[in-house]
Amino acid sequence: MKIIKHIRYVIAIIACLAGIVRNASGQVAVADTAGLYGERKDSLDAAVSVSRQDGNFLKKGSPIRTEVISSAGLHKMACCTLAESFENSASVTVGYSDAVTGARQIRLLGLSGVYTQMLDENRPVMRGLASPFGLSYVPGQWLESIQIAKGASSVINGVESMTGQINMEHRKPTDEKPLFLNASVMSDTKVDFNAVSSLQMGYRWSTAILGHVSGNFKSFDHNHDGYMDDPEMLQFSLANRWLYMADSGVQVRFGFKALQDSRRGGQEGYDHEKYSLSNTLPWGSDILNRSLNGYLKVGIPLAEDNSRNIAVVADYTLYDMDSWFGSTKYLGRQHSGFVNVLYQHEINGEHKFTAGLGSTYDRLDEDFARTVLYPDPAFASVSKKGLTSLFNAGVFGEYTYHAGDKFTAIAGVRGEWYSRDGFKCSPRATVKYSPVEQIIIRLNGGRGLRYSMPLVDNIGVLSTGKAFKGMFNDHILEDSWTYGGNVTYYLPFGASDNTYISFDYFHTGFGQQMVVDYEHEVNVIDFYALDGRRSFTDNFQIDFNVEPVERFTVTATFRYTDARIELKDRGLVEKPMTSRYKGVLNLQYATRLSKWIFDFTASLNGPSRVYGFMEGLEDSDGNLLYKDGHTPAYPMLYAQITRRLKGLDIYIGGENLTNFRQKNVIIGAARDRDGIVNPRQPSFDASAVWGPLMGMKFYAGVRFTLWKKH
Amino acid sequence: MIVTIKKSAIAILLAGCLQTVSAGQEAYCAGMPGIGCAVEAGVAAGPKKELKKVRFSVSMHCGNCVRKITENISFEKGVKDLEISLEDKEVTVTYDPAKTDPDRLAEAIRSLGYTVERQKSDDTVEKE
Repeated sequence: MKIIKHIRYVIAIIACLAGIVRNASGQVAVADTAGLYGERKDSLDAAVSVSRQDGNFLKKGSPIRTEVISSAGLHKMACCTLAESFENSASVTVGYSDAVTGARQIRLLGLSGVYTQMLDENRPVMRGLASPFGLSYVPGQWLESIQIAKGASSVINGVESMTGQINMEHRKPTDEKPLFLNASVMSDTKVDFNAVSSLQMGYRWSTAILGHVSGNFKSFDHNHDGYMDDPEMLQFSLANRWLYMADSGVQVRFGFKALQDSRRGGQEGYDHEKYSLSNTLPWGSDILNRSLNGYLKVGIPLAEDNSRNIAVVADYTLYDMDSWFGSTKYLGRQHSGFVNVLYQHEINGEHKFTAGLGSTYDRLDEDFARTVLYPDPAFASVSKKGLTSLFNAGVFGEYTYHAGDKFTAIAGVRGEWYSRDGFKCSPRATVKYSPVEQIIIRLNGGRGLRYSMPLVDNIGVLSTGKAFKGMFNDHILEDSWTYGGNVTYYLPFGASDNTYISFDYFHTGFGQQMVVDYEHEVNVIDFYALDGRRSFTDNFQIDFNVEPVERFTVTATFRYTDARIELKDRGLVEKPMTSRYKGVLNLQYATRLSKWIFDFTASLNGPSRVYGFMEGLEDSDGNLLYKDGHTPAYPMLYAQITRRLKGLDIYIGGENLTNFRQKNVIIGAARDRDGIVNPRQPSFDASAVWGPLMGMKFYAGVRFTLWKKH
Repeated sequence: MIVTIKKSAIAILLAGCLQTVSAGQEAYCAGMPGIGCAVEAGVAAGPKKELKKVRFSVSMHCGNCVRKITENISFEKGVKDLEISLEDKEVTVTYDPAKTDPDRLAEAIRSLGYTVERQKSDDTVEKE
């Protein structure tokens, strides 16, 4: 523990010195406001003499351990949504928030996705209300690539990234593809349509129009538990992104995105207006999400060689969520604003710095009311109606020192005033060292801060009959330190020069955290602050990538997580519902010129500790479902065949080919008359999800690309 | 119908064995059961394709250019393999001369919006 403290002090001192003192003279950033200035880094990385891209790979030049999911990686699976894009990754685990809403959540470094900062071309997105369903609202086919940066990354976009950052790169206005169309259909009747048009109007102006429609015609109850496996869904989204490049080097990017999504889950026939605890009408959830986002990015070079420049990034999101879960109502409207003003100066090849001002504002208008059957009337009905404002603003600086390709050091600090907690200083530091060409060593560490939104961050709690106690309406400032490192060794064999083995270790420890405790009292979810108790995760990961023969790629990765938390009256325990390990093996073979591509992915998902109240659960034969208090490990298999013709890709595939499904997803006593779990009881719980809800699925799809001709 | 198939099989067998013998693989073929020999020999009896390689200097400047050329030229008629080097600004195409020629390939790249210059010195012949 002492060592940890020392490391924190060292990081803090280095960062403060570098960030504050150097700022006075001018400085740097590795962080990617480069998006404003010509070709993006990832595009340049793709500029090698290959005719085929790797799907998932570690980015060699990045100071921070960064996993890239390229467009080839995004085409390996159905990838209907962003959530599904991570199936090939062991770093990111994707699960369901509950068995009702279809909301997907990710885990990075063994912690909830709310601790990972989501970026859309380096603008923070999916914050607050937009977070529970956000992963379902980015069509995988809209994306060009995804970068997963582990650990304490740049301070430039704020310090809400506690476990890392996931940055999405959309298809670009400058893509010479006037028309891209995609349609796919799944055996569960889900259909997905995407259209993207990138148009260039002369040299200066270009735009991309992106459209998406998806939904399912029918929802099923394959396990016959009386509750639909997946909600009925219908989603529309439309985005328009613009780029203006002036002769002077000034670049302007702006755009908007509009979204509407409705989903009805639970028992068929749920009507939130008629449902009550005193009648016997079906229980369910009814959710309508609507969102409008607009952004503006301006980059102004101050020197001919662009060694000095100013950038302004502004983003606004309006998000409406109208939701009902049985007799619970949650109506929320959130206005979110983000502003960043940066000055970048590359003094010479060795020294760079970035300094700037940044601010984030969230105005949340909530109407929440919940009634459950709980003996104590003080907790049987809870509500909240009114406005909450969360605001932070401050300054930041980041200094980068390069000593050729061998050594890079980045030190950053962000000092911000938080509306409810006063001034906070968040230092971060990164070192990359390459003693020989084949070996890269990366270390990083730093502080993360974010305001918790207990109900929204844990949307699954609404799909239960449990009483809420504690701070479920409060917003505490969560505070964590993450540090760790990575060693990547590039091996001298294989058909490509991208054969490597890589080891990661990362530790995240919380100084303050919103704890959502399902185990403190029976039939109660208790929300309380960590307040001096311990909460930490240790993550180990190994990645191996090789192309043993030309066009055959093997990627194997294994992650082990030890997540612990000190709960009230229980002491330090294994964090519930957090899988201990995940292993992924991906094999890809492409014929010459990639006219046929065969993909196979197998994953093994390790056990998780179940909540205390699940330990005694039995299956229909009277056997304990979770014998040692842990879920079983389970495999998942995926396969896809893609046939590529000129301008046309046709693909078919299957998911969850072992047909593994979590049993007894809906927890609670069953009714005598039909054997279905009664939703009108405090033990009702549809949020204890650890495995797949859907069985084997097959899909087929087509992608059409029209290239610009001259 | 059955007779026809048998006749064809015999023809393949004969032609194949002859071809195989001429290829100097008697021992291998003799060690195979009849039908195995026929299949192996049938393949060996196929006409040898002569492939050619042509190299172009192309005005590429970014990864997007590489992608655009890859995605389009790979599917041009007669193209068998493609190598692109952005560093050298070169596109090397292996093609079937019975189906296309360097002029058509150059035109296909040109139609994507690039200037193309053929490097005549590197027109090698390969066999498949």
